[in-house]
Amino acid sequence: MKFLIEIKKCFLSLLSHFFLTAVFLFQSVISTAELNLPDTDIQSNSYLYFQYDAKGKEADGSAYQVLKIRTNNTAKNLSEFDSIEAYCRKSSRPGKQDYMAYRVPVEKLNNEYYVKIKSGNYSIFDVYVSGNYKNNTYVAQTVFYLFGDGLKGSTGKPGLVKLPEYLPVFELTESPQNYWPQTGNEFRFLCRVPEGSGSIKQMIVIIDNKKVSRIFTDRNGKFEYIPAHDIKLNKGGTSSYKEIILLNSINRNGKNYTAAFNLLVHRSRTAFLNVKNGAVLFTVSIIFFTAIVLIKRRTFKYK
Amino acid sequence: MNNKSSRGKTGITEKIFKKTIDEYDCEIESLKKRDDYSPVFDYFLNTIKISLFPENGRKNRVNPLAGILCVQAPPEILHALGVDSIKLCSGSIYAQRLSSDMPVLMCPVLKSLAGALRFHNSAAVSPDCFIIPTSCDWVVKLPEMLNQELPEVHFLELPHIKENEKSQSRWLEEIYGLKDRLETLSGKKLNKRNLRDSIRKFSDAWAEFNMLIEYRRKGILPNIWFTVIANSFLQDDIEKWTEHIDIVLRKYKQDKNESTDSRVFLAGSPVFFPNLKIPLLIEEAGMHIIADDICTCERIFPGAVCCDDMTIHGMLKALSERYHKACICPTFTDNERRVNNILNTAGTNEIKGVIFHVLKGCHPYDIESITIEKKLKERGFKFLRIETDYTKEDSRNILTRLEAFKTTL
Amino acid sequence: MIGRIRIVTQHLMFIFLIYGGRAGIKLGHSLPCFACPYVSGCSGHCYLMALQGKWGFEFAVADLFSYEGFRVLLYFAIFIFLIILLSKFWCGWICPFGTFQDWLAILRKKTGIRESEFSWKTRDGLKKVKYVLLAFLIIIPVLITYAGLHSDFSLPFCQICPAKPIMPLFTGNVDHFALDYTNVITGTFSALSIIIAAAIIVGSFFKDRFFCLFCPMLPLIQLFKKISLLRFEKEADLCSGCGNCHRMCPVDIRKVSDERSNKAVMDEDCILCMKCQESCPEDNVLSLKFLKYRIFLTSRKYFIRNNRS
Ligand code: SF4
Ligand code: SF4
Repeated sequence: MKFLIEIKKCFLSLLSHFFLTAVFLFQSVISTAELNLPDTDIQSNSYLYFQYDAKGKEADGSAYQVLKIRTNNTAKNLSEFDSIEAYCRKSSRPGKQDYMAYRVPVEKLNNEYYVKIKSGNYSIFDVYVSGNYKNNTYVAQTVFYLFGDGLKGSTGKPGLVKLPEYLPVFELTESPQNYWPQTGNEFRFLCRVPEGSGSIKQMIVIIDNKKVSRIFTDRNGKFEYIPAHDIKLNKGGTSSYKEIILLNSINRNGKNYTAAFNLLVHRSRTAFLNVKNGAVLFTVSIIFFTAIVLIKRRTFKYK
Repeated sequence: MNNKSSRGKTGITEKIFKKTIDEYDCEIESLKKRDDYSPVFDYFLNTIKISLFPENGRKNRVNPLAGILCVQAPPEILHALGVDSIKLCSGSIYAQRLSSDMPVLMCPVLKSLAGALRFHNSAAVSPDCFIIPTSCDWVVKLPEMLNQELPEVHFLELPHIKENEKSQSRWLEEIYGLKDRLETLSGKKLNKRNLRDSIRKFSDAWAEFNMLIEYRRKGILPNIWFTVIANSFLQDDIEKWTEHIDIVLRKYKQDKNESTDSRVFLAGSPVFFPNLKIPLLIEEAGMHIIADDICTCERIFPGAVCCDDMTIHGMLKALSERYHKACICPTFTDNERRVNNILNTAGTNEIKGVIFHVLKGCHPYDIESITIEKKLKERGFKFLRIETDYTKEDSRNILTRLEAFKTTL
Repeated sequence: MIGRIRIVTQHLMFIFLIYGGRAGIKLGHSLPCFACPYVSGCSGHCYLMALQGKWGFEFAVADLFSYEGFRVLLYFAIFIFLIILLSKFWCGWICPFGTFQDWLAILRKKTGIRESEFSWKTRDGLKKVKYVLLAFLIIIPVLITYAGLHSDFSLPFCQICPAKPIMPLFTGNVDHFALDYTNVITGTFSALSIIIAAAIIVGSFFKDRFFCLFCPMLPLIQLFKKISLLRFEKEADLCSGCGNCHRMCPVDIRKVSDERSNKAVMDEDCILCMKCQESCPEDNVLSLKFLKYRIFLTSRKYFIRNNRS
């Protein structure tokens, strides 16, 4: 029964996938004119983004993740930004909307800026850092899981605050392998933009290892993204990963608002499995070993 | 298969044959006069006599008949192939006269057997095949000494070292060889079901036989009758034999344990009907044989075959191992377990004395008596070695020694 | 009798370990038997995985005094406790992979094919294989942690363990029979795993408990033989050397029949299936004791009753 449901689900998701892709392609072909393209190439503009840094376990069993805050513009030093603030939203289950937010201190070490997120249990974290530079506002975002398992349940209760209304901002609405995002997975995002500028397709710039590509949201700001498989990742170990930056930038009243989402993906665990070939190898081996046994079997014949 | 020499002796053979029959009858009569005699033993007394008149035994047997010497050839295989078996062994003193051409020092059992084999030197009554494991030298040379008088001899070469792989697989090969030989003899192919059923039948027989042993241990079943029953193993159909043991068991079921004193263990050379001299003398001296390790008594039936792999190979292997590895015949190189068996049985059954029976000319037992004596005495058991043969002349002498032995217990 | 109790126990344990997780049973990560963690919904995990992974030799010793270090030690302590408690009963009575092999053996018996045999020399030679596997599953994680070996080598034994592809089949998962084309290492491991699984399936069809001859869990359990609460003893003087025990033994142990002086006869390969004890026709030779209580003692009476047609 369960199996049947599984098949049905598979089938439906495949169908919907094809449908959505088709619609998306269609739209992107016919309606380029509508787009509100920024005048300059945003990726050559400045933005703030996260870079994953050390990850590990504390002596008490809680897990931590360090995120480095970086800017793409090497000429611009982070210290020139004002009001760099970090927030974190924590939830216990994917898709659970009872987020609570709290402020996270931004640490500075050797002219580098960090935030460190800790967890004493199994939790999902949305982390935000914002900073202003002249007239522009930048937000760096990312989402990750931590598997804390400590003697203490959590590392102290933070004071809850309201999360600032960043605009634009990415929201990862669906990620199929929650705690282990992989290449080849379909990630769904919702891009919130300031009121009034809705109902237009936004252009998302994706920077994957210096390769730049573009993707367009639909009118509601939704889009899907499937990170391509990467040979380098495949060659790396089980925990090797890459970081993909998704950028969205909006110009309002002469001000630039830029959000940069860091999507961390591992290599795919399932895409390169081939059960059919495995089954063939298995059958051949069974035949081979049976033959060996039958041929090599010691016989007791009276000679 | 009459050849000239035996035809010339026909007159003498006849005479000796008659004497032997008398010897059997006389022994049977005297057994029947005993206080502990009961008609339940008649069957066994009659079957024992069958060996003298194979034609009687074969009357209702259509199957080929194979004679088995010693205890290492598994009768299960014979039974599975529909070959009837008969135990080759003899305790007759008169039969020995027909083998006077053989060495003087020859073991009395084989001397007697050689004589008995000459009674019926015709194909109609003698076994179609002789299965002879090469246990002791006398056994090995017997067919040769009988010189053409045994038509079909199948030797099983008995590996005298038990606990190594080579000898075990060697013996398994011998068992396979036996199977092949019997297949030709019976014209049938060994099949799984028959072999399994045969093993089961023998297991059931062994279970009953084992109860007999237990009854004897408890002092319920007199040793003499136990010996008679054991001696009759394989002389008749195994199921019939089992049934009759069951009858005996039922007779003794109600009896209480008799707390006997002067319990002794009889070890050593074979005791076979009608030569019950030693057990009878021991009884006369007032001692009770509670246990023995004699290959014509307790050890005549190794039993306890069990096997996991119920294929022909698996079962043959089980048989080969059980009849070889568990055998404590003194012809094997290492017989520590034989001593252990005596020690343990004696120890657990309140037996204080061990009487070691050596037939003059039975070298393997003779040789072993030395080491066994030493080990038993070390453990504080009383030990008496009696060397004798089938003649009755030394009976008085032995009785005196036995009586003296009894006082030491 | 014992044989029957054992079969029932094995099946109950199989169901319990393979499907128990679905009923919310969690027995932890320290089971001394092949309760394969790759089976989704299993109720406990084979300790070999913990041992190779981050709760074992992949664990950096420097972190010993931390919560993780505590877990490493805790899992190991539980493992030892379970071994001391039940010793090789884990193998012969509980291990689901052992039960799987017994099914294949039953299949063979049904088809009437005879069991394969090893020569004594080959059999003794095979004893070393499990130590090689044990070394393999210890050294590789250490190399990963300290020498920067590629992390695709992690859980090396699990990756070639035949239970990994086979056991998940019982929950309808065939994924572990797939060739993994991710990279050369995963490709090699997955191919090896499939080939080994095939070899073990064929092997255990023709030979009882074929995999047990190589199982690296056995030496680990054997380590605690001296302090285990379960004892398998022999009164060597009472043995007739009949060899029933050797023949019935699924892993062909000669020690039980050939031992002439020592009391302790649990061989390193013994899986405590008690078949030898059931098949011994002599009184008081072999016994199984739990602490000072005797669980079983061989006797001719039992033998006869057990082998009655
Ligand atoms: S020695 Fe006995 S208990 Fe151990 S595996 Fe062999 S038969 Fe089973
Ligand atoms: S089955 Fe018993 S008597 Fe036979 S060899 Fe084994 S331990 Fe000894």
